[in-house]
Formats: sequence, C-alpha cells, structure tokens
Amino acid sequence: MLTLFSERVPARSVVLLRVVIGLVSIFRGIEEWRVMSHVFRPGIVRFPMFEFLPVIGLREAMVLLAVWLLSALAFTVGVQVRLSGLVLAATMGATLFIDQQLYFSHLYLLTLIVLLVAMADPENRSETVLYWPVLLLKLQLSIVYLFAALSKLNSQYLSGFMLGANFRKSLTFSPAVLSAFAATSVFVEVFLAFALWSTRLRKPAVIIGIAMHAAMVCLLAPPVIAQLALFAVECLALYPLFFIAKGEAYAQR
Amino acid sequence: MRTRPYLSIVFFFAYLALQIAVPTYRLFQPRPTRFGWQMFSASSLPTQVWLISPSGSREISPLSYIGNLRSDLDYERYALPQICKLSAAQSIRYSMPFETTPREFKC
Repeated sequence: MLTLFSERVPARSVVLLRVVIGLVSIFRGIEEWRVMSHVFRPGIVRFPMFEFLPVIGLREAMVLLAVWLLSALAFTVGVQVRLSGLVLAATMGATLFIDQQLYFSHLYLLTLIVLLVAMADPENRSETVLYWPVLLLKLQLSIVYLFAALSKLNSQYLSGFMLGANFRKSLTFSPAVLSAFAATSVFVEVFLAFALWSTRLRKPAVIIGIAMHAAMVCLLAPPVIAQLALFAVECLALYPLFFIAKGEAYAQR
Repeated sequence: MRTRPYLSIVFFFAYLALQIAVPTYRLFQPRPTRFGWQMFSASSLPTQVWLISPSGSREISPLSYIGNLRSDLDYERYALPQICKLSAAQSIRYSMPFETTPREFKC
C-alpha cells in the first residue's frame, strides 16, 4: 500500500491535462469578471456563503481575479507549476466563498483538479509524475458522477421537472419522456462512476460519457450551456488518466 | 527521517475523506445545496413572486434583484428580507415548485 506513494507514471497525460485545465482556468477567469460585475451591482441581493465570513466587495474580488488570471497563465505555460497551481487553486477556491451567486460546481471541480495537478507537479520537461495525485483525480471524477446521480434521486428531478425547466424552449417533451430522460441520466452517471475503472467497460464508458456531456450541452438552454461545456471539458480531460496502463506505473528510482 | 512521504499520505487520505464526507452529508440536507455535486438535481427558487403593498400586488420576475440566478440560492433566507428593504413592500407572496398554495413573507 505504501509503495503507492512512491509510484510514478508517464507524465504526458498529466502535462496535457495541466495545459487544458490551465486554458479552462483562464477562460473561466474572464467569465468570472462578467459574473462578478452582475453580482456586485447596487441593488442586488447578497447571499453569504457563511455568515461568519467577511463581506467581500468588488475591489477585493478584482484583486483575487487578477491573481487568478496571472497564476492561470503561469500554470498553463508551465512556470513554477506547483506554486502557480496552488495559488490558482487558492484564488479560485476563495471566490467560491464570496457569495452563493458565485458558487459553481464546475468551478469547484476545476479548483480541485488544479490542486491535484499541482500536487503531481507536471513540468513541461517531466518524464514521470507521482501516481497518487493521478489516482485522486480519477477518484474525484467517480465521486462527482456518483454523487451527481445520488442527489438526483428525488421526486422533483425524477418527475422530469428539472430537465423540463432547463431544456431549450424549442424542445418540448411529454412528462413521461422527461421522466425517462431523468432516470436514464441517473443510470448513466452511476455507470460512468464505476465503468471507467474496468478494463472491459472503459472504452464504452468513454463513448457514453462523451455522448452524455454532448447531449447536456446541446439540449439544455443557453443560460447554462457555458457551465455545462466547461464541466464537460473538465470531466473529459480526466478520461485519459484511466488509460495509463498498470504496467507503466513503476517505483521511483 | 523524510517527512514528505508522510505528508503525501496524510494529504491523500484527508482529501479523500473530505471529498466523500461532505457530499454524503449534503445528501441528507434539503436539496439543492452546494459542495455536493447536486447539479440540476432540484430547485429552491420560487416560480412566481408578487410584491404586496397597500395599493395592491405586483408580480416581479424571480430574477429581479438577483445578480446571478442559481437553483441552489437560499432565496427565502436572504432574498426576501433584502427585497423587502429594496422595494418597500408590506409582504412578499411566492410560489414554490410542486406546491399549490403560495407562501407569504411579511416584511
């Protein structure tokens, strides 16, 4: 068991993940400026995440955003990967607690991925990285899929109400069809949580995962498309980690 | 004695424990809630909102006074008191999903 913490794997998948997630972080930082400009307008209700936290104003939030973008740039190009990654994760994570309106599950996932990639420290010239952060990334994806499915086991979702409320206006389905879509989405997410770990089911899982994320982006209404697209990129970017063959893991020399 | 491997072990198990414990705890709280991967699982937002004043009632969009609308906002706890102050309404009537009787919040 303890050899897990000295095992190393080829770095290429993790370096690629770092670049993709870094680019997502940059794009998301620009989007965050747009969202913050709406949330901090006069006359807008504030929703504290926790009441014991200090109230952050626009000026402080802009400083956080500036640090976010600078560290995201450094992380993406591979400058001081561990440090820039930890700073990036800290700034993105901090914005999640400013106001409930600034919480996004895809941003939370992005923060966690950056944190774990920083722990793996995939520099541009790395040939290998530690395996245990890669294992945590894989486990994190399964945790997301599993709890996304479990949280949908309620009458409001399984009735099809939530899907119906969020589908594009041009798409109209009967309650029975919406309910069937809802149940199917739960089964698919549970399947993905476990199938990616199976050598036999991994390739079908990748196809089904891509199809599920693509369907979410194509079928749901424009206000949520950007969030779903980012969430899809973050999840799909983790899939290659499941293809690191066991034989490629070897102990640190 | 090198401490780095032990820090890695502590981080690994602490991270995993947190990432399993928090969403599990959230499953037993009213949905939807944050940090639980409960995307699009339910909504705590009203479908209709009316401002009630001596001169009558006026329907407003649930989007009113909200900078970024999310289905997991603690609308009743934070939005209603602040909308009261911002609108000078006497009370706020609102309909929640799957409920036939509107609720009323006295300002």
